Amino acid sequence: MNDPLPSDPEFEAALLKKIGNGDKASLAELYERYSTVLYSVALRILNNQAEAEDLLQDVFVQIWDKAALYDSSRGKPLTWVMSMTRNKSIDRLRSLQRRHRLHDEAEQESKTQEQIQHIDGPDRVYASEDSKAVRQAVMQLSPEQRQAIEMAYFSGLTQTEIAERLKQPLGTIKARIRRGMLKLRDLLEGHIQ
Amino acid sequence: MISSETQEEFFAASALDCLDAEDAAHLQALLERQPAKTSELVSFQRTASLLGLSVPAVAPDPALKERVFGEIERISRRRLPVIMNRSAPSAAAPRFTFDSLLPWAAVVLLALTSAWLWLQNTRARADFARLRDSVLQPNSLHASVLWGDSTRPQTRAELIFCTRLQQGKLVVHGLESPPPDHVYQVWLQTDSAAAPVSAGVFRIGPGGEGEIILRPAVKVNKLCKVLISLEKAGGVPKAEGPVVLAGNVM
Repeated sequence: MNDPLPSDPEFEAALLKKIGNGDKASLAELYERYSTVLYSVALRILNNQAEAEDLLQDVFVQIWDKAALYDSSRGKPLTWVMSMTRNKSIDRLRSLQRRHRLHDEAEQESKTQEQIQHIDGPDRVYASEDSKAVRQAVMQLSPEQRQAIEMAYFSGLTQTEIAERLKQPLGTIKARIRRGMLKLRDLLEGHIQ
Repeated sequence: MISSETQEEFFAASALDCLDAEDAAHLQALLERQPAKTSELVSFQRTASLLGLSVPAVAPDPALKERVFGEIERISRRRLPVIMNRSAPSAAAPRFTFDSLLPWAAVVLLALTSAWLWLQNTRARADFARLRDSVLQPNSLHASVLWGDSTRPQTRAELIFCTRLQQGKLVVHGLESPPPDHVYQVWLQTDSAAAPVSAGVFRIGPGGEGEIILRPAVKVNKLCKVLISLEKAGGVPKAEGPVVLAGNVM
């Protein structure tokens, strides 16, 4: 695997501006920088290589179309495209679930546990200093907090759905998410633009 | 009053997009009451936006890049030429389709319609200007009231005539129908001709009403008098019959 390119928000914002003017070379540069991290998120959410590839294609088509709308005052380029990828992935996941009804409760719980174990595994590769910091911050959460937050972020479940799947009171889930997010916010203070 | 802990629960769950509908309504109401709280929500949202970076990196298939850019190229080609200009010039010419001509056809149609409307408007304005000039030119407009002879005291007619347009109209009231093989004929007396000039014949309706658009055979520069005489059917070149109505022109 190639080493990921270092994150440079100002350079990446300039790339988005050029893409907004129709510069395909800048889009190619952005692809080199972001494709791995965005594909990883899509794959994590969709748990299917073909779906994740289709999703990544949709994301870059959208970047090509909407780059001119990027507003640097609302966050780094990476967080902008990350949100785009996450939201599209969750939409697609829900659509797939509706279509195929493959994700029953037991499977979902099993996957969630599998995901937690996967993050704990040794073969981690980071795309940037931000990635390292986020990974370390997430590891400082309690397993319960991490699980609840990841079920919300990567599985698109509501708090009520998370409570049902984990067979925990709704208030407990709300408290876990609140405490976990407060802790992450404190730990990542220097990385939040 | 919502406690600060509950507010944080709302912000955290909203940032993760996992807020239930009821709580979402409470959060919306809270932000409407206290807009300054929005900044706290934003800080949670920015924290949540970093979570994707926690995922172990997996590189996509290298062939995917070619597929992605092929799709972008295909989409770019399907769009209007003006949008295609956003991209760098390509060596390969885009495939021609009739669909691509539709926007241009619409533009051409719109331009032709606009030109036609402009032409019609210009013509209408010119016609109106001519008519206005004629009407407002005092020397070109003449009017008269014609009265019946002593045997027809209730008979009368109104006339208006424009020497610039060489046209006029005469309307008759209370005139009996002409005898068989006879018609009423209108005559215009000008200052330049010794004899009156024929301006046409007309019929009388059951109520004694009649009208005629006047188009004299020769040019009339100044109108002095108008006459209506009873003539042989079809009209005559020179007045011969009795005059039944007459009037001086003002």
